[in-house]
Amino acid sequence: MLFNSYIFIFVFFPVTILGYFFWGYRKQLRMANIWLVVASLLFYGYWDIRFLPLLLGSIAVNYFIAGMILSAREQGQTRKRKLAFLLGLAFNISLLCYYKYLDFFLETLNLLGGEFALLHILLPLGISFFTITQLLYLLDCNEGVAKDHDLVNYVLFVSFFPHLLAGPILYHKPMMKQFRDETRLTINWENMSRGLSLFVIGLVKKVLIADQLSGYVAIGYSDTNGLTLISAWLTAISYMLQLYYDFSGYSDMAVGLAQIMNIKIPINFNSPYRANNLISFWQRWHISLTNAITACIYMPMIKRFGTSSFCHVVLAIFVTFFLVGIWHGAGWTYVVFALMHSIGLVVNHAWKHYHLWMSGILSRVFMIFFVLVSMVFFRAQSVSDACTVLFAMAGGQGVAWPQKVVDFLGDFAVGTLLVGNVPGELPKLVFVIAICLVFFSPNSNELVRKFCPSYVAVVALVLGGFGSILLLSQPSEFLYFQF
Amino acid sequence: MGDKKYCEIIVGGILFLYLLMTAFIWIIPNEIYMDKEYPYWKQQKDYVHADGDKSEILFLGDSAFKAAVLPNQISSDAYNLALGGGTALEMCYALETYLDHHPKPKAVYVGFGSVHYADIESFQGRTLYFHYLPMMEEISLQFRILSDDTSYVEKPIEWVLDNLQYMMRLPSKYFWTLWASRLERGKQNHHDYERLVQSKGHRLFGTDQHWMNHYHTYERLQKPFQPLNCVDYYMRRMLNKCVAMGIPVNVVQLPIHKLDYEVIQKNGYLADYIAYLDKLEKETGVSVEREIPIYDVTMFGDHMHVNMQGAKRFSQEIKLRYRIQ
Repeated sequence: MLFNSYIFIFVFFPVTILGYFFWGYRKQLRMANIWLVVASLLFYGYWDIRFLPLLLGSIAVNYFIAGMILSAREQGQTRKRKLAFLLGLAFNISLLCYYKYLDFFLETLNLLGGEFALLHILLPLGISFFTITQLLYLLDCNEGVAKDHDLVNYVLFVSFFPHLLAGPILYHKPMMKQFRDETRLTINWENMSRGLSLFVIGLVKKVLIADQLSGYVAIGYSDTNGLTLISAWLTAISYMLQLYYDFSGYSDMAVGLAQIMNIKIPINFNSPYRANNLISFWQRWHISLTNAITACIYMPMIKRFGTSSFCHVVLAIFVTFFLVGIWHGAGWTYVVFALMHSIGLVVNHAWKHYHLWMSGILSRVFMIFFVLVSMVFFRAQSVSDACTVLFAMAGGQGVAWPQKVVDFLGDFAVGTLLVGNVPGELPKLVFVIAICLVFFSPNSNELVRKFCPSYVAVVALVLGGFGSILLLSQPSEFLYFQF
Repeated sequence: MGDKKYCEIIVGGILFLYLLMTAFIWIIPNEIYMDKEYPYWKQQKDYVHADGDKSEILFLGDSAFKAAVLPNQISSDAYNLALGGGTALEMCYALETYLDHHPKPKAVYVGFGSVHYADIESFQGRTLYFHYLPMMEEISLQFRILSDDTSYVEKPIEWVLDNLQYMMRLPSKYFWTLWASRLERGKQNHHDYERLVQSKGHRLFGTDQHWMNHYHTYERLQKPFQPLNCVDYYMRRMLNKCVAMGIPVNVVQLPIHKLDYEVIQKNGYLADYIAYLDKLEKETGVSVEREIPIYDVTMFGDHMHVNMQGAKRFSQEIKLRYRIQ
């Protein structure tokens, strides 16, 4: 089930919150949590029921292992605790490797002369997210941070539907505190209004912006040899915008849905394209993943080194962000993406470490350009396709002024500006608005932070929400679902 | 403004606009915004519902039949009631409705491309979308599809919800048609409607001389032939109705080009299709052609539909074969 679907908006979510606040009215915290668990499992299973046993199985195994860790910690059995933790680590990584990386591994072996048959394993939705969520929990159990081991709350923590399929990645401690808090079961109109606003903003970002750009992007990347200078740049920039609006829109909806239920989950984006450098970019892009991988990989590495000399920091950064990159997918394009960002971050850190100077504007331009190029690899089907796009961006495939560009100057009919004349044509107004919003306007969280119910906000959200709902029947994809 | 009022206005406002748009779609005439296939479905629907006093020769089938049969060339009593995207589901309804308003036909010829025994992809995009059937028929058809062909509908709940949106004329399904039309399609639709009246139901679909340059075999022809149970049910119902009423009925085969024929012959599809036709003939007692005419590619306007040259040839052949006067 997608957030931007009729069944979710008009059926699933209203029924879920009705039941949730009904149990709240009856002061039944336990039942409210169970209700959310059932709703979340239904949400997950609706997409494809075959994946539900996997989710439940993963939860069961991790819960059991967490129990072993906690009991070993309680009894002071350090060796047992560490073994249990390693077992949990091995289980989760194996699960991820099997479903996500095995075919890539076999393909690579075949390239080196092997003759292995690919298994074509279907990637279960959200596996990267619920796996990493549980890994963090095991880590917290191992370090004595997490102590809560209630089954219902744990299942809810992992499967909570706003975050289940594409994050934000949650931490156990703050979530458990909220799941135990009875006060959240009473309707809080302030949270309701902010949550609703955030949900509508996210919906607008996803449906009215990201989805409108997707057709143009898909066509560009499906025929990279046909791209010329202008179209290559437009395609690359459109994808950069599409990815941001798609994922940040989804995250906004997730945060908004949770807030409606008086549950706070972390934000995931903070105007990443307004960052001044790559370090800042990763502090603003998919924030929960950066934090999670930092906690899982970077901090343990630094701890293991014993010192935080610059070389150790650099190594830890390189490994951490390389893993961030390949976490996104199994393919050489993701490896290139990972290498680019890990090297880029190392260079950025070195730049700072040696107090080298670059003007803010230049730094930002360089960062945007770097991210743009890396996203070409992120999106392309293959490394050679990505290189073809970059080659076209450099003018290597000619400079052709599309007829439509000439027409564009005279063609300001609203209809074509919104959605283009033909499927796959760049929706010009959407493109321009998307760029302006991303660079010059406050992001959704900033808007909601300064939020004050007003008629202007009402009109904007009603029109935006209505427009989005009208377009819900258009084909849509959540880009981060493939991760 | 308080937070509660704010939430109420937003939710209420969106719902209000949505309902307003829905009401607008219900009120405005379909003709002024529906897309180009609509007049053809509308014309056929109007024809079967209109009272007539002439005993006619009817041609029921899909778009391939629509393109291939020239009623004016066959007989003064001939009428082409085939529909682009039509299957036995729609043709059965068309025939039964026709019989309620017209005298018994002299003969009925039924012709579908083999793919339309195995696919009802137009059910949502045409039948429901154009409101071709009365609501009770729509509901009954959906029950039958879900019960007879459970594996065909991958996600039944979504499928039913989708269908409901068509039936209730919700903006989710009609807004873009409205938007694209700018409510200016009335004149064109009327023109197409009248043209179909003049040609007694015939129209061409493909007219591209160079269609072979972007030819690809219809995907369904590359899979095993597997008729849908619901289509088979309505096919038999239609044929049995004719038999019961003493109406001469024949199932005819539509022309195919060499490129597709080679595919279906090689992959076993043709053998399975013929086996189905054998069974149909045996169990209904109706004459069912097995031989599929193979026409040269120059007689086609696209990969599935004959052009005017092909239509003339097919009409002449069917006239002679069945001695239609």
